[in-house]
Amino acid sequence: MALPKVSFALIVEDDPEQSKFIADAVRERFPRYEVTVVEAELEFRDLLPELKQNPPAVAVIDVILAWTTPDGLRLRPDIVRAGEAPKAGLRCEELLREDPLTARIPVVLYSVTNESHCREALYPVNAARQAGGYPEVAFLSKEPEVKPLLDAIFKWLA
Amino acid sequence: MSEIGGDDYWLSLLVRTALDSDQRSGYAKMLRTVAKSVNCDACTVWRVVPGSDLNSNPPAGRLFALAQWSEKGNVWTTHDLSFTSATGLAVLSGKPDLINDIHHHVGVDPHDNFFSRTGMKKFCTIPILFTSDKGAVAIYRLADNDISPQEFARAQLLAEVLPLLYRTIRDRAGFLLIGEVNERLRQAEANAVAPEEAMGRVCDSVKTAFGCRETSVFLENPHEKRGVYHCYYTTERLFVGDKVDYIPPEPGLTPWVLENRRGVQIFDLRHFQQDKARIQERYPHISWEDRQGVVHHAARRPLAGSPAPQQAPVSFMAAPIMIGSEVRGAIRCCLADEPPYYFALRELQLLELVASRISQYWGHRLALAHLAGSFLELKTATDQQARAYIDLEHQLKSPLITALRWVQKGVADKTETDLFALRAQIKRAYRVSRNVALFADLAGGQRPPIRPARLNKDKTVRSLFEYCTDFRGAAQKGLINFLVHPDGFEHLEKYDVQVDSALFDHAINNVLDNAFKYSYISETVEVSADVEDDSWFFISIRNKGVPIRPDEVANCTIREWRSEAAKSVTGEGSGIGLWIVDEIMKRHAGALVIYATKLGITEVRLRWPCQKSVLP
Repeated sequence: MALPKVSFALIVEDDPEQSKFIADAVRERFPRYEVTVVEAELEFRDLLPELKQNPPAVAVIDVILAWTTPDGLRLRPDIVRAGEAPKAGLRCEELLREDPLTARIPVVLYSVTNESHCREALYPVNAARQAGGYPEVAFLSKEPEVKPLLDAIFKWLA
Repeated sequence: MSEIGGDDYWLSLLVRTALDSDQRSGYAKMLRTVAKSVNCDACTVWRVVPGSDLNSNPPAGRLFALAQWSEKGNVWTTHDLSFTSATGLAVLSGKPDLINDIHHHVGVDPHDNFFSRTGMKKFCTIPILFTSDKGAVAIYRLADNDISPQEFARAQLLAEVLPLLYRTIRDRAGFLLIGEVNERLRQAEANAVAPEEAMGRVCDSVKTAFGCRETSVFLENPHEKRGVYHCYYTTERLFVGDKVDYIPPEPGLTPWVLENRRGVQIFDLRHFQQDKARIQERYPHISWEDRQGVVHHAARRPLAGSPAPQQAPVSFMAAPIMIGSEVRGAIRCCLADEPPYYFALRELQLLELVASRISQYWGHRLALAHLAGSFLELKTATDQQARAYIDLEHQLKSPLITALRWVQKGVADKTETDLFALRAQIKRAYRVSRNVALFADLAGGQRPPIRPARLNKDKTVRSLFEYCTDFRGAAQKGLINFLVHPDGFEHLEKYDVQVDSALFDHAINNVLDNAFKYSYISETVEVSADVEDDSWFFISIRNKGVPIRPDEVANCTIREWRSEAAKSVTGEGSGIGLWIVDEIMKRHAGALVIYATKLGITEVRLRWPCQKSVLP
């Protein structure tokens, strides 16, 4: 996948209906930005080297993600199996945080999963981000209304 | 107050000695008192070997040493006496005998090892009566002076009470053993001591109480399959050898106890083969071979440096460890190294009491293990269920949010395809909510009620077209195609298929949803129907996509099971869809059948029983 040459927002979302809706809303609110959609964790991992060269202005990441798509079937490695799918979005965030070239990318975890399911996992994440001087991860529950998400990413894209 | 040195004094001292003793060493102390009362140097209590026949001619059997004391320590040349000996004759006749001249007395061989090695010159022998057997007390003197008639009379007076005092000491030692075992197991329970160590403590107590060389405990391992009895502890590894597990039925004494759930008490293993018929009268089909060389290792050396020509009995006893009516193990004792050298019925009863206390201990452990297992199972089930509900929440909210967004954006300017996609999202949410309800019912053991009605051809085909349209709409505007072949549904006009329409719709939609989730892009999901063997109507849903390995097919209907490939391509999914379908099909006396090929073609058949209809 080739990343846009201009500023862009990265959306990591495996539900095509959701990603289309979010992408449309972001483009409409922030017309200066391109939107790149990644459908699965593996695709995100494959994209990491490019993200280091060309980091997005913000990354909106779903928490429960598929590892890959049926057409690009590659079985999950053991490290991912142990974590199971509900941790996929958190793993993507960790991959960004691990590298100084991507650690400064603002991350919004955007999921229908209740925040309580992720709260415990978020404490160490944000503690590590604070220690590194990186922006904290925001968690937003998916609602029919997309405005809260747009408001959350406003400070990064405005 | 009895006169010092008088009969009353010695009798009183003997009784006090016995009452002060609660261990086997009390027997020797008691015999010392008897010997000292008549200025003698050794004393032995003899008892008739079980199974002897005193009334046959000549009498069959022998005497064995039940208890011994000697001024010079335990130095004996014999543990066995024939009925032709002076003591044997006294037992047979019931008359005491005073032998002040060992060289000229019937039944006495002055060259016998005992007299030649110990130097005893005088002795008297007094018959006594145990509860069920006869015996004798023999008192020996080293000095040249004769045993006087007064001394002989005193010896008879004291000998008379010896069986009673012997029983008293034995009972006290028994109570001590039971108390000690109880306390040791109580401490083991309180301090969560490992079972091997707890059994070690019990075995040590039993070994000391019975003076036996071997005490072993065999138990089933609660974490392994039933019927295998593992040696948890033994005081004599030599006798267990490499035979650490018993899996009855198999020959041997301990396996017999485990299989027959009865205690066993064998007087002398050395004569097992000769006495086999008599032993088998008490213990049917019991057998034993000395594989571990027990008799060889039993060669005790009663006279320093010189093995006795006549060995003491190699006694054996074992008791089952029962929980309710089920045998869970056994405890056994073998080869007493000290008098009385054998285990009587009373000892077996004590061992059975020990076994009973071990049963209690083991029962607690099993209950705890079971409780821990159940807790773990419950926790796993709860975790799985919680994960399933989180996942279902996710599956339910996603289509609802999408549908609401569609509605909020307005439907006026939407194309027909958009509207189908909207309907697909709403139906998806409905299907998930039905799955949640069915999952809750089925997981709680409730089976969904069915209201059967005949499956109508036109309605069924129409519904299937509708479902396929919805899924096509949801599949990124037709990137996966859904196709219904209506021909096979003609059978519904000739065959009567009874289904609950709501559950039928749910089953079909769950299978279609799977095909939708796992199909490759641009592939077609095909729906068709047919009749098999004139007795089964089936609907087939066939797709090409993420493959199911043939060895995984059977797992597809297991609750919360998902293949690794399925987990790789979907973030959500609880693995309950096909489980629910399987349950629905079972409720219709039908079946869910899955065929999978290596090329990724999967065919799911929902099969209902059918019969040719009478009415058109």
